[in-house]
Amino acid sequence: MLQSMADVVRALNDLIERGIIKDYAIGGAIGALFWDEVTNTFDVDVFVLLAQDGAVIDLGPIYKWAEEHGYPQSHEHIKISGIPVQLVPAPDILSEEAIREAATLSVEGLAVRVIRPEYLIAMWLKPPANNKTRRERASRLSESAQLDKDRLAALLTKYDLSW
Amino acid sequence: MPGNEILIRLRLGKDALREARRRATLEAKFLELLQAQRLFIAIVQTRRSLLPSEQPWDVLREVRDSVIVDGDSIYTNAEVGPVTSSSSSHWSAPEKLKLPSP
Repeated sequence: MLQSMADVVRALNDLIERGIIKDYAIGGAIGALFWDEVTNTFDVDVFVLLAQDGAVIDLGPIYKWAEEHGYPQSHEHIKISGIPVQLVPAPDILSEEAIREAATLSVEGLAVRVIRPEYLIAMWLKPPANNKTRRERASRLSESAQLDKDRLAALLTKYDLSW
Repeated sequence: MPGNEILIRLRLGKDALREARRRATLEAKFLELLQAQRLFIAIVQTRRSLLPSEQPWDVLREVRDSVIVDGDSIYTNAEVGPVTSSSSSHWSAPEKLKLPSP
């Protein structure tokens, strides 16, 4: 099981090595799983900083890379070793900061970048992402002993977010 | 009606259970996620059609994965099957998680 997740991590690191993305961090329910109890999900959300500059976002290089590696694509997901992965270009400054400040953890001995819980909460509280499900996730994650409450408070203030 | 003391004890027990789930190994958490995906699908497909994205992860067919599906149970056992990666997971005893009865 974890070997499949390790394959995902290898693929993400390969994207960096090839210069297609600058950096990444796993978010969503899988990101939260590193800090909290398990929440059901069917995909892995990976927030990425694209290597390209300019206002136009082009995911073409990522899909081309996936095709070259034989990773099937469907419904905006790339399937890596049986796991659907969605590569999401950072949609705002908060997400960009979350990627830059991500924690480097380990999966099967491989370094993996994971969004810190304080940033996950902030991202889930930020419109338009703050639907009921995400607010519930944020609330649950806020009870985690690994949470830096001062850091979370600072983030909520900085980005004008509230519960 | 239960007294406050009982309610507090029950609540503390719930907190302790959640904390244990939080501190579970990554292996255990991913295994639980697989169980949750299958359970979700089993329940939801009796009520509506599944969305295209609502598919359990197809990770159990990999020979190298040390997971065995047996009916409604999933076992982990690091000794099963050849390991072709540099896995650092070495579980000495299989762990069995059983899906709750409907």
